[in-house]
Amino acid sequence: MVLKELAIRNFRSYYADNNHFEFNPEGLTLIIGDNGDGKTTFFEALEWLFDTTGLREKDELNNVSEMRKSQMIVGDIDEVRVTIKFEHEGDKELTKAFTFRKIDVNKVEIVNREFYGFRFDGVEREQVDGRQILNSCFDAEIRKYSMFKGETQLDIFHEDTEALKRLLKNFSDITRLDNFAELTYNLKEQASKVHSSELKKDKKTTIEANRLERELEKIGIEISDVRRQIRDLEENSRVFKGKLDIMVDNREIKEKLDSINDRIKEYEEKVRRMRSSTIIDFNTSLLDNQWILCAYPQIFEVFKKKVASFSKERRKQHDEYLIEKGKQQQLASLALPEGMTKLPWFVPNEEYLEEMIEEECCKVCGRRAPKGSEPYEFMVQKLQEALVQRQKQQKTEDEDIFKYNYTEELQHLSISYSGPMERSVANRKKSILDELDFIAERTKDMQKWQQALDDVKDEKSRLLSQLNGVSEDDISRSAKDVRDFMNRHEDAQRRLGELRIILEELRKNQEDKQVELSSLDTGNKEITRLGRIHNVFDHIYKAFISARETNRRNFISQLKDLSNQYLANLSGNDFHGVIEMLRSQETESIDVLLRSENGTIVTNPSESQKTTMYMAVLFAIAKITANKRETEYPLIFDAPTSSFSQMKEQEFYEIINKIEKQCIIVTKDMLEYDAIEQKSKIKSSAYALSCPIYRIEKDREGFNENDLSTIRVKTSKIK
Amino acid sequence: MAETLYDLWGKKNPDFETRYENLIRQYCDYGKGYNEFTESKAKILGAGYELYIIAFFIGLYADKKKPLNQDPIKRKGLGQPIMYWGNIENRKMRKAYPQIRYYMFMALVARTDIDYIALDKGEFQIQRAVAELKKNMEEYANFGFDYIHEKLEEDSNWLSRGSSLLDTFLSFTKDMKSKEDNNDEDPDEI
Repeated sequence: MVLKELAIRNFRSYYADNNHFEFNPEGLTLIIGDNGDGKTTFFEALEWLFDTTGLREKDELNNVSEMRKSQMIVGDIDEVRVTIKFEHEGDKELTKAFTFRKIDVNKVEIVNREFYGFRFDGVEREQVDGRQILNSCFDAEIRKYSMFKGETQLDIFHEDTEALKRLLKNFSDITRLDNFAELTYNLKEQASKVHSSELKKDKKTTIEANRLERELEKIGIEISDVRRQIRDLEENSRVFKGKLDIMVDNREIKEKLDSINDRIKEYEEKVRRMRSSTIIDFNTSLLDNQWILCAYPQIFEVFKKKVASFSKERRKQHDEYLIEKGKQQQLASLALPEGMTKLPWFVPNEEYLEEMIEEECCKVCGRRAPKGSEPYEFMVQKLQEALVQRQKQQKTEDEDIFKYNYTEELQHLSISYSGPMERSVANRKKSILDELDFIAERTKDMQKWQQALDDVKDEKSRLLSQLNGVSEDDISRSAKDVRDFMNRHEDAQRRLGELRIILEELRKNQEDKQVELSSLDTGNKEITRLGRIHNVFDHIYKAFISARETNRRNFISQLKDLSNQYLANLSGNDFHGVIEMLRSQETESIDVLLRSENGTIVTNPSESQKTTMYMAVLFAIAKITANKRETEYPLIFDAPTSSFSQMKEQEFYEIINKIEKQCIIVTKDMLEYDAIEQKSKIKSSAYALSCPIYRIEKDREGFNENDLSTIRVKTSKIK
Repeated sequence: MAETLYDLWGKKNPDFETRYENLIRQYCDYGKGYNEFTESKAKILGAGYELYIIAFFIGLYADKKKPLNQDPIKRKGLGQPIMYWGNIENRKMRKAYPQIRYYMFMALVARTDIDYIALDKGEFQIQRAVAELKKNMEEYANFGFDYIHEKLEEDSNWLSRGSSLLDTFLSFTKDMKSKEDNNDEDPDEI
């Protein structure tokens, strides 16, 4: 069976008829979606389609797209439909569908169910029953080895003691030997009964025969007792191992949890720190940091010009007034070239003038002004004038034309807000923009860490979801019990070894006694003949048993070899070890283990090692089946690689893509977070894979996180 | 020593139109003192004059004034003289910004037509000049309040959302830049 196309209509988040997938017939098809984007729904749509038990019918109404439901008006009819086209001894098609009608605001009822298929013989298209087509092409037994949800389902042998029997029955032809073995066993037993009853009748051998029979009976009881003990111990050992696995897993999980919790703390602190540097109140900053002055420079310019102009005019009028008042002499000594106006009397001020006079240097024009020189005298006069003015100011000058000094006040203000303060205001806009850039950078960083934090939290919930309700506290506790369980498991294994030796001895003893019994010579030809007949059947029976045993061993060995080939392939450059399959002869169960090259059993393989190992086994089973049954079946995995690191996932898909086997993987791998668009996108490296890739994602348009009826999956073929 | 023009102006308690009182109450701690519940009320500004300052600068930068309603019932004094504006803020994380008063004063001087020579000569009363400065201040603020009110009509979250106000002020810097390029004249005087 090779899957070709799938169409999903109105199945939960797969709204309307927009979801079509075409599968790669001999390799990988990747379906990539983030959490909540419809990965599991995709897988469950397939499970629903392939279900022949009818058990899922009672929950079928849950499969109706909430979005479709919300759009319908009472009385409207639509359908949920999943159709798959595939190749299996010719082109075939299978559809499961039901029609539903809206009967109330948020209620629909099922009107009609359909489950049918088509087969094409090259000329005609013939409709057949869905169950029939499924049973002939993809029966329930095969589906067990074909579809896997999550990582935990991958170990098909776990807690399933019948797994090997079923595998042998389904995927090999060696079980036919069992019928012959059974037949010869009955014949042997009948011959033995007849022979021993004849022996007991003969006086010569009756005592010896009875003794041997009693001993055989005793040995038989002992054998069944030892076998029972072995079965019990194996069962216990299996339970121990199961518990141990959980505990070891728990210990591993605890270590992982500790590391995750550490990271969560670290990232939360980072996000918190970044957030505090990005939280800035723009409104109060307008006032507190005087950002409001960002557009002020031009206004200040106008103010300055205006004040300068008034000040100049005032001084001019003052000078004119002084001249008029007959103070020409004083003025003449201070006169500047014609048309020039003096600086205000307070520039430079008295303090600076005294300093310049004392140091005999004019710091206004930057020249020496030795005592007696013209500039020196100018400064002395300027100082005297300033002192006079200051006194006048203090006294209130009635004689002057100016009664008030408001212009002067403004001039002082203009001077004190010029220079550094003016430059600071001129830079206000730039410093605001710098601050905004800084915040934007921090926000970007914060989003990056927030994304990392979300990822770690996801990782934690994934990890916790593997525990099936075990709390973090239980994990810490059970991690301590691991040593105790390991000891008990080892004890059980040791005792098993001893019992197996005892069983072997008992069987040998039983055989010897039987040979002894069948060789008792009564001289009666008839009895001797019966003894020989029994011996012949016994030999034939043993031959069948031995052949069956050899075949089983061969099957397992073949499965193991093939699994190891796939394991080596799938692991790439990682350590992968060797897969061992330990089989119990008493219960026919198989334990799949990982052994390193030096013979040590890897008791504690990592999750990704386990996943790779179990997937290798599944690929091997599929390969053997393809050979024996001359038909392929696909491997479909839902999120099998959640424990893989990003490096590993890339390599893994590259390898899977090269294995010539139809394989469909639904995963959230190969995604990365795009901080600018604030959503996940497919990594560029995914485009290098030669397999078809589909992206499934929640359609963001109209999506409301609190409303189921706004969820719809958008399916797009990436390549 | 006689009081300065700045001091006299600082004593003024400028008017605003009563129709904006609710606006001030909504965004500032206006009409009551600071108390422990203030912050929980999520007011985005502190004292009532803060929105007044913002409104004033909007009018100033937009270079637009709007005369106040002359009806005394429809206007009222803000309640706090300018000389206290921007002093110590009670709220956590806030800073005092008394300098803002000088910048407002200088802006008013720049934009108000007063003959300071005549004023120095005592040819008209200083209080007239102060009244002129106050009137201009009120009219700029009145325009600003109107602008804020309109914005809030369009989007009631306008003031609460991050950088709306800042963006408005930054947009004035662009306007000024283009004005600077095209027109170097002094602004119109009243």
